[in-house]
Amino acid sequence: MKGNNNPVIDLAQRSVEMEQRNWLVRHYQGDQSAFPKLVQWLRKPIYTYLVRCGISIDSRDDLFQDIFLKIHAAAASYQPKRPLKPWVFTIAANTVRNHFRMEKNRRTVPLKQDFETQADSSPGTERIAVANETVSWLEQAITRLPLAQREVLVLTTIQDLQLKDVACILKIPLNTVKTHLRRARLNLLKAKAMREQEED
Amino acid sequence: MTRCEQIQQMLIEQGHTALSGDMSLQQHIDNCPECEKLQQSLGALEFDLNSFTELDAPDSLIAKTLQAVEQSDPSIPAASNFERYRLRWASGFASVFVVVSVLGLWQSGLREMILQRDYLTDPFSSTSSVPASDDDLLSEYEQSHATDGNTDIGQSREQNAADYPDSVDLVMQSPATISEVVSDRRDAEIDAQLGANQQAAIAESKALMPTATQPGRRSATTENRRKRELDARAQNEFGRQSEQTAQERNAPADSTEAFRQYSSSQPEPAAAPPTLTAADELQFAGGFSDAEATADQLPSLRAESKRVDVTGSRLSQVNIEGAKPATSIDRSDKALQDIPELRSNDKDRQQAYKEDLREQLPNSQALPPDELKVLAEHISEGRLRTEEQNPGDNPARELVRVAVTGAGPSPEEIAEYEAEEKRQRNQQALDYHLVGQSGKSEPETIEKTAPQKPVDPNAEARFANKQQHAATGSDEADQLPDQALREQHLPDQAQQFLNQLDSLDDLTYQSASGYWANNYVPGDPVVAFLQSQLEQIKATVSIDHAHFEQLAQPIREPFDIPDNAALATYLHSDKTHIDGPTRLRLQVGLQTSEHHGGQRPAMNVAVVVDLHDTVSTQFSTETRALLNALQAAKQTGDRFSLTVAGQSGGVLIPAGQFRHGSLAVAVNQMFGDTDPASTAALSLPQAITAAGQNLMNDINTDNVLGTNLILLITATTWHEYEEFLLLEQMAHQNAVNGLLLSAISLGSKADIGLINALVLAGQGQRRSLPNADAAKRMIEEELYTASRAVARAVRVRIQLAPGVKLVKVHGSRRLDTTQTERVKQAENSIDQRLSDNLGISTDRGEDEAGIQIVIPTMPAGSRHVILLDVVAEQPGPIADVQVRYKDLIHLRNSVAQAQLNLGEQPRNAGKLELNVIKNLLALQFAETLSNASQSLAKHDIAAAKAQLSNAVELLSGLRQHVPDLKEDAELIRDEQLLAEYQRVLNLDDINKYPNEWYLSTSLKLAAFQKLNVVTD
Repeated sequence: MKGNNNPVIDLAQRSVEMEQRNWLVRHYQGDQSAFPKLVQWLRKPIYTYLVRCGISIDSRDDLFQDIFLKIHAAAASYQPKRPLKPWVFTIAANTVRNHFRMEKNRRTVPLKQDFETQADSSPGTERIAVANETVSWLEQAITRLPLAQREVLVLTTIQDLQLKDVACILKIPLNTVKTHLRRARLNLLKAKAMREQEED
Repeated sequence: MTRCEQIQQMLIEQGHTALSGDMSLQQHIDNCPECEKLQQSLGALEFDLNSFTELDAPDSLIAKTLQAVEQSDPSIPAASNFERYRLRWASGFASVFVVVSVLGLWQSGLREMILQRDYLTDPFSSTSSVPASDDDLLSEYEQSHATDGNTDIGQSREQNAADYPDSVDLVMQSPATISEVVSDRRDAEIDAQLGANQQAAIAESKALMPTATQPGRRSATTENRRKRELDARAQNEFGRQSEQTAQERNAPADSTEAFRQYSSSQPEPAAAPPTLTAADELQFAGGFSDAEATADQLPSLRAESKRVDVTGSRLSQVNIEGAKPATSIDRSDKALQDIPELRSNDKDRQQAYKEDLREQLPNSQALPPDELKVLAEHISEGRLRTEEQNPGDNPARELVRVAVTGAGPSPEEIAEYEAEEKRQRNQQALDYHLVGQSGKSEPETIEKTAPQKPVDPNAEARFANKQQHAATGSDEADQLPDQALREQHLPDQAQQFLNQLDSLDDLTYQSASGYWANNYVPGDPVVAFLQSQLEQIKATVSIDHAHFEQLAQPIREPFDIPDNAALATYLHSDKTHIDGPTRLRLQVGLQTSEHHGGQRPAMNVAVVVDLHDTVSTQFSTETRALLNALQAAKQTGDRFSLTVAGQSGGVLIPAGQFRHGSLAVAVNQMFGDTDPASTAALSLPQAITAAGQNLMNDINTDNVLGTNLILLITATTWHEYEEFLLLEQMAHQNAVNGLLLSAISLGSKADIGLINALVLAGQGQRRSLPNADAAKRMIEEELYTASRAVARAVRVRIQLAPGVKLVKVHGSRRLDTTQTERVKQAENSIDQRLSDNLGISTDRGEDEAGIQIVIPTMPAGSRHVILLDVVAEQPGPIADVQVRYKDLIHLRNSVAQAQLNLGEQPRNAGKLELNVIKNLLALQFAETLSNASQSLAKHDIAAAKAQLSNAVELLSGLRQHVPDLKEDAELIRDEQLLAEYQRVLNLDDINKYPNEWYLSTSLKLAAFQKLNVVTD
C-alpha cells in the first residue's frame, strides 16, 4: 500500500493493513471467520488479475480456487511483519505462470489471432460507447502481450503495486521489471497507433 | 543518443507525468512535436488503463472456494519456518552422519580387505543371494538356530558361529558388498569382545527403537546385528537368561516353539517381572519384527495380541498364561528406562526400588478404568502414545506399576472397564440416536406427550430403555446421572427441534407417485442482487459492516464426484435403524462430474430487453454493459439479435447484424432521445414471439441443445398474472422446440419468484446482475452454459417401499395434470433432440412408479439435494432411487441407482447420515434468519433478537448433545454468524433507518446463502 502524506490517513491505512495481515494468521490459528474475510478482500484483485492476464473463462474459476487453496496451504509460512498483498500476488503470479506453461503443450490456434483484424471500423456514434470500445480493445491488446510484459503491466498499472514489490513478486530484478514495463507500453502504443491508422 | 531520444526513453520508462517537475525538459516537450505526441499518447494510455474497473468473482465461485478450503486437509498448511529449518538441520545432520559412516566403513573395509584377503575367497560368501524379505531373514534365522554347529565353515568362523550363529549365517549368505561383509565380520569380532552388560545395554536401547524400522528395507547387516542383540539380551539381561538361551539353542527345529516353551515355562508374571526374554518373544509378536515369526507362530501370537487388543480384559488372562503381552513388556522396558534405579545394573538397587513402588502403590490391583483404558490402548497399538491420549498421566508410572507388581488388573477391574467402555459406546450411539432416531416411539406413549413440555418424556423413556437394553450389566445408578445431565443440558430449542423431527402426531400423508416439481434452477443465486444492495447502502450505515453474512455458507454435501459417468446418486437417511414406526428423512443427492465441455459451440442468441417500466439510469447502464459484453464475446459462427419490448419496441438488430455500429444505434434508440411515439409499442409476449421467430429462421437442427437461446433482460414485475402465465406457456413451448429461455434480472424490482418459474419452464438459467461490472462475466458464463451441461433430461424416480408413507418432499409439490403433461412434453423433446443431434437413442415417454422429478439440465460440478419426509413402519427396505439421464460426456443413456435398507440393529452414523441432519438444520437456520430479517424490516428488534437467540440455543444445544456435531466447523461458523448479528443488534444506534435496513438485508442474504443447495 502506498504511503500517504496525511499521517492520519496513513495511520488508518496501516491499521487496516495490519488487520488484513492478521486474517491469515488467525486463519492459521483456527479462526473460522478469518478466511472468508480474506477471500472477501481479495476476490476482486485476484479475479481481475486473472482476467487481465488473459486466463480464459474455462480455467479462471479453477485457478481462482487454486490460488486460495495455495494461500491456505502456505498460511504457516506467511510472516505477518511483511505486507500481505505482494505475498498473495506471488502465489497468484506463479499459479498463472504454471497455467500458461502447462497450456503451452496443448495450445490450439484461435480463430481470431490479431486484435487489429477485430477492430471495428464503424464510426463512434456515442462517446460512452467509444470509450467502452477503447477499453475493451485495450483489454484484448493487453492479453496479447507476452506474459512477462503483461504481468508487470497488470501488477503495476492495474493492481497499483510498486515496482520493487513487483520485482519481489515475480522474482526478477528491478531493472528487468522496468524493461518489461517499458516494452509493454511501447507495444500498446504501437498497437494503438496502428488501430487509429486503420480507422482513419 | 539525442536529447529527444533521452526524453522519450524517460517518458516511456516513468510514465507521462515523470518529467512534469523538470521545467527545462517540459519546455523541450512543449517545443518538440514528437516528444509532445508521445507524452499525450502515454497520457491517453494511462487514462485508459486507469479506467479499467475491478472485476468481481461470482458468489458461487467464492462459496466453492471456501468449501474447498474447508474440505482441504487441515494438515496441509506448510510447516512453519522454524519447523522447516529444524527439518533442514535434521536432514543435514543425518546426511553428514551417513556420509561419515560410509566413509568409515569403507576405510575399515579396505583395511580389513588388505589384512584378511583370504576372507573373500570364502566359498560361502559368493554362493547365496541376499535375502529378499524379512521372511527370508526369518527362515535364515531359524536355520541358523537349527543348524548351529553343523555348518561347515572355517575354524575362526565356527567360533563366531557358536556365539553369533545368525550373524555368521547371514554373512555367509549375504555378500552384498565387500564393505558390508567385512564390517559384519568386524562387528562380530567387536561384539565378541563386549561384556555382557554392555551388550544388554545396547540391545535394550536398540529394542526401544523398533517401530521406525521398516522390515522390507533393512539391510542384512542391520538385521544381523539386531538379531544378535536380541540373543544377547536374552542371554544376559538381569543375569538369569543363560539357561533360557540354552533352551532356545537346543530347540531343534522351530525357534518360535522355543519361545512358546519359554513363555509357558514362566510360572507367573510376578516371578519374572520385566522378563526381557519374554519381551524379546513378544517383540516378535508385537509387529515391529513380524518377519521374524514363522507362519506357524504368527497366527497364535497375533491371536494373542488381538485378544489383548479387543479389550483389556484379556490382559490378566495373558498374564496368567505366563506370556506377558509383547507390547506391555516393550513399554515396560521403556518405563524401566525412565527410572534411574531400574536402569542401573545393580540388582539390589532395583529390588529396593521395586519394593518402594509396591509400598507406594498399595492398591495396585485396582486400577481405575481410565488408567486401564490407557493401558489397553497401549497394548492395542503397540506403541507408547499415552502422552497424546491422556497427557495428565504418567504412562511410565502405570506401566512400571504393572511390571513391578507383576500383576495386571483384576478380573473385577477388567469387567468394570469393559462395562464402562460399552456404556460409553452405547451412550454415543444413543446420543446420535436421540437426534436421528427418536421418532420411533410407541403410539401410546406419543399420545401422552404434553406438547408444551420442554423435555420430551418419551425421549427420556426411550433413552432409559435403550440405556438399560444396551448397557448390559450396568446398574441403574449409571444411567440416572446421564439422564439428569441430559435434561439439564439439552436446551428447549434443541429438544423441540428433535421432537418435531420425530413426531408422528397430526401427520397427513401424500401419495408417493406421479410427477413432482423440480426445484433445481441452475444459474446465479439471488445473493448477487442482495450483495449489491448491501454494497450500495454500506457507506451510509454507522454500524460495523464487516460482511459477516459471508459466514453463511451452504452445507457441504459430501458426495463423491463420479469418475466414469456424468452423474451419481446417493440415498441416505438420518436414521441408522428402525425398530418400530419411525419418522425419518430421506436425502436423495445428485452429483455431476467435473468434466468440462471445452470450447463453447457457436451460439444463436435472441436478446429481449424488457422496457415496460420507466427506464432508470442504472437500468440503462447495466443493459448497455450487457449488450457490449455480448458484442465483445461474439465469436465466429455466433448469431445474435436484439428485440425490445415496450414503447420503442421491435426487432432492433436482426440476426447476423449484431455489430458495434448497429448496436450503438440500437442503444441510442432504446435509451436516447428518440421519440417513443415514433415507434410501435410491443408487449413482452409479442417481443418473445418475435425473437423466437427470428431464431427459428436461423435455427440449425444439428446444433447442440442449449445453443439456441432467448436471453431476457428485465427489471420489472409482472403485474398481470395472465401475462405471466402466457409467458410461461410460451417459454415452455419454445423449450420444447429447442429454444431455451434464460433471464437476467436487473435492479431491485424484479420479481425473483416469477423469473424462476419462467426460467424453469424455459429450461434456461436464472441470473441476477449485481452491477455493470459483472456484465462481462455473466455473459461469458451464459454463453458457456451449453458446453458445461453434462446431463440432460435427468429423471429422478423415488420409489418408497411398501409400508413407507410420504409426508412431504421439501421444496416441491405434486404437479397437476396440465403441469405433468408439460414436463413430459419437455422431457420428450429433449430426448428426441439429443437423439437427432448426438445419436443418443430415445428412451422416454413412459411413466414409472413412484415420485418422478425431471430436471432438464445439470451442468458440470453441480449438486442437488432432494429431501423427503417419510414414516417407515418396520425395518427393511425403505426406498429405491433410479436416475435416468442423457450422459453428454459419454453420449449415451445412463442410469444411476441407490437403495436404502434399514435394519433393526443400531449402527454408527456416518458422514452422510449426519449430513441429512445438517441439511435439515440448514433449513431451520435459514428460516430463522429470514424471520429475523422480516422482523427487522418491521422495526421489531426485540423479535429479531429473540429469533436469533433461539437459533443460537438450537445450534449450541445440538452441538452439545450430538457428539458427532460437537466440533462441526459448519455449525460453529453458523453460531459465530449468529453471535455477530446478536452483537450488532445490541448496539445503541441499530434502530436508525439505514442500519436497520442494512442488517435486515444482510440477514436475508445470509438466509439465501445458507439455502443455496437446499431450498424450501
